[in-house]
Amino acid sequence: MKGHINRYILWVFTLLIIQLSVKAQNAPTPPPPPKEKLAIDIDAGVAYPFGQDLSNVFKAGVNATIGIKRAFLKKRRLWIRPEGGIKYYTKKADLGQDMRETFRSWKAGLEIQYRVKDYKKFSFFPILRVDNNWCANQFSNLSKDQTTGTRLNEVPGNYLDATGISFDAGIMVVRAKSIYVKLDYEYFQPTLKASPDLIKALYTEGIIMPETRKLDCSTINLSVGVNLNFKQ
Amino acid sequence: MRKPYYLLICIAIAFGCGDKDKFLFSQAETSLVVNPETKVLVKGNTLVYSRLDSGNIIHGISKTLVFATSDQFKTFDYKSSTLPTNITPFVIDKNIIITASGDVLTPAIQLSADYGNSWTSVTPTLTPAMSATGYYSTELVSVNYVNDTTVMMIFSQKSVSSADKRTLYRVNLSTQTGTVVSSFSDAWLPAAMKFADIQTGWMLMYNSGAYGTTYISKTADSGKTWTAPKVIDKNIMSNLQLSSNGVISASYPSGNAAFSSDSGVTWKKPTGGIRFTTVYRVNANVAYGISDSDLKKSTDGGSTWEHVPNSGYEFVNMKNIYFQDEDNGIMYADQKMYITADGGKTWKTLLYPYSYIIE
Repeated sequence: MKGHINRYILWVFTLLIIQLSVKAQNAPTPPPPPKEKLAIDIDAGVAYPFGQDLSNVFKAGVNATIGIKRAFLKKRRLWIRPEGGIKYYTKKADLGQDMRETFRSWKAGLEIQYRVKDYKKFSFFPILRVDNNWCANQFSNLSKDQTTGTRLNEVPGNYLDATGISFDAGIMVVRAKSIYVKLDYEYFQPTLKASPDLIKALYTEGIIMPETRKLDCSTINLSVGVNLNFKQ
Repeated sequence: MRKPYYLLICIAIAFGCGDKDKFLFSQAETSLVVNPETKVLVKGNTLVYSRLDSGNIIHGISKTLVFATSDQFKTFDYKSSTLPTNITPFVIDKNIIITASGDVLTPAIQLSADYGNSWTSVTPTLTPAMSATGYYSTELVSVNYVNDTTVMMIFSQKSVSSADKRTLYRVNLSTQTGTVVSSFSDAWLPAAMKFADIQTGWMLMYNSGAYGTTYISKTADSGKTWTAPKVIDKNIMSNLQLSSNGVISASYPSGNAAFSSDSGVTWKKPTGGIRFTTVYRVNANVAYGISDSDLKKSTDGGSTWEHVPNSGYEFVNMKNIYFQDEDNGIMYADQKMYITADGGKTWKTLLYPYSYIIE
């Protein structure tokens, strides 16, 4: 159930961001450059698995981040943004019964944005980001009790979990100082730890699963976002 | 203005997609517990006997195959070999497997000297011939391999009106003749027999007039004379195991066991009335047994037994254990076999009917 709530929140969040973007684009003239050194960046988008381990299982996921950023240097070229976010994948799974597999990463890290070019209404920011990730791979049961019609209990606990550092590099294109599109590559190869129950269950099927395994969960991310200045 | 919505649609299409039959945990590099090629040994087959020899060589026979491996079934040799239809239990000692088939009064001795790879059949001419006249049942209880030319056979005959009879034949495999060594008509009937060499042998017996007690008798002159039956246990036992230097064990499948280290003069029985599924005597002091779904070990010749600390292993279904020494052993039953190298604390699965083996 928790997985579904997360998913719905992400959809609502994404719709909100898109709506804000549309409103910003409809503005007749771009707003003047903010003089403030502080701003909030909120973005959401899609994550395409680039690493084979992840792309074999999920075709795409969603990601969202939020962070307060502060400007440095004279022309506010450098922005440093402490941020947090989530990346979320889900799909149906056939494990003998209808299940839903999810892979979720909570993120917290630091993003560096550097404005290298202004062209008409657009500003170009190469970005670098480092995140610490808390990942969990879970299965929930989609089967319903035939007599009561209620959903059967979810599979408890995580099948796999991990914490690890990810590195991002990409580019952010900001339009009229308020909305932006971000394209970046995230390098992330966490060492996932399998649950003892999973190891035991597989062993009874004659399969030996290693306790830990490094999986390539790298992604290409495409996000849209809004830049909310404290004063405009 | 619509571009963000297109992006949203793309996300919606992609999000939630994926292969239903692939999972993140299955992306980890896994390995199989048993060699999938052991399917030929397991599928539709049943283990009859197996032993672990020095060099960790495992020999075994199943209903339709004989096999051997020296690397825990990473590689193995096997050959089709149909076991003879037996009228006596298979008696197996190292490379020798012996049993009898055919008519009980004129039995054929089936002998393999190469772990069951090939069999020789000998139908000895018995002198005098066995006769069933006057007896309501005649049974060939045991066929014992003594050496390359000699086999001992013990018959049991039950009478309604007179004394029961046991007859010991010595068979010369070269001349294919069998002669009576001794014959007794009394109340004692044989349950099992084992010869350690051409001179010395033991026989488990029970009294037909007081069924329910196991006795043992010993010969030191090739079976001509036997000591007076001595009580071992107030239960019937049918398994007799010989080790070296007069170390012998008697047991009943799924039941009682008794152990002697002085050629059967004195016997030790487990304190607390432990009942064993199977026991194996390693030497005068050490024995292993499976009891109550648990592996137990004795280091005092069979009196006291202690739980071997381990967990998660399938002792409950194991019918046989065999230890090469105090540390190295195997246990097996039907389609399963496990091996230990630490006295039963940990076991590795060698054969098992996993789905990828039997499907």
